[in-house]
Amino acid sequence: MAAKPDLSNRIRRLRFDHGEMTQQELADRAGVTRQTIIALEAGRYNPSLALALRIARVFEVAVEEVFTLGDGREA
Amino acid sequence: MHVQERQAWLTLVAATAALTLFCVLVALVGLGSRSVAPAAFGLLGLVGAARRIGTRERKAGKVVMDERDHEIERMATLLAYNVFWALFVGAAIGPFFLLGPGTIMRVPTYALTFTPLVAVCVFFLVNSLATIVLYRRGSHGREA
Repeated sequence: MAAKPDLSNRIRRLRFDHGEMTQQELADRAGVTRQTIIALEAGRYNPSLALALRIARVFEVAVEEVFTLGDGREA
Repeated sequence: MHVQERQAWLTLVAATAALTLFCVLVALVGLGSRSVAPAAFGLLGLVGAARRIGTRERKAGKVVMDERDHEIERMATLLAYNVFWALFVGAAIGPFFLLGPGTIMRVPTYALTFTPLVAVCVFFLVNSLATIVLYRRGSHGREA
C-alpha cells in the first residue's frame, strides 16, 4: 500500500488574492461543501485529482500553483 | 455541522435508545415468546427520519454531499460491515469451541426475531460512531 501523499496547498492565500473570496463561494464554484474547503485548508483532506483541477480552474491557475507535495517537489 | 454528521448523531441516538430500552425491558419483563422487549427496536424507525435531514438544503440546490462525504461514508460503512462480520463469525464458531462440536443447542424462535435486530443496532452504532469520529478527525481521502 502506498503512503498517503503529504499535500500542502495555497487555497487560503489564493482566496484572498481573488478578492477575498469566501469559503462558501469557492465551495459553490468547485461543487463541494464548505466543510470540505475547511478540511482542505486545514490539511485534513487530500482532494481527488478532479477536485484539485476544479479548484485550480476557479483560481485560473495551474494545479501545481495550488497544491504542492510535502517532500519539496511540486505536485 | 454537516448534514451527514447530523444524520449520524440521530442514528446513534436511535440505535443507543433502542438497545438501552431493549435491555431495560428484558430486565423488567424478561425475554420470552410473549415479551414486549423486542418492541424497543421500533425506535430504529428514527433512522429513517435521519435520512430526511438535509432535504431542505438539497431542494434549495445546495451541495450536501461531495467526494469527501462519500469517502467518509464508505470508510464508516466498511468498518461497520467488518465489525458485523467479526461478530457474526464469532457467534457462529464460538459455541463450537465453547460447548464442543457435538453439543445440541435449543434456540427459541423468539431469539431468532430479535437477534437480527440487535445486529442491525450494532451496525448502526458502529457506522454512526465512525462517521462522527471521521468528521471530527478529518478524512485524508483515498490513498495514492
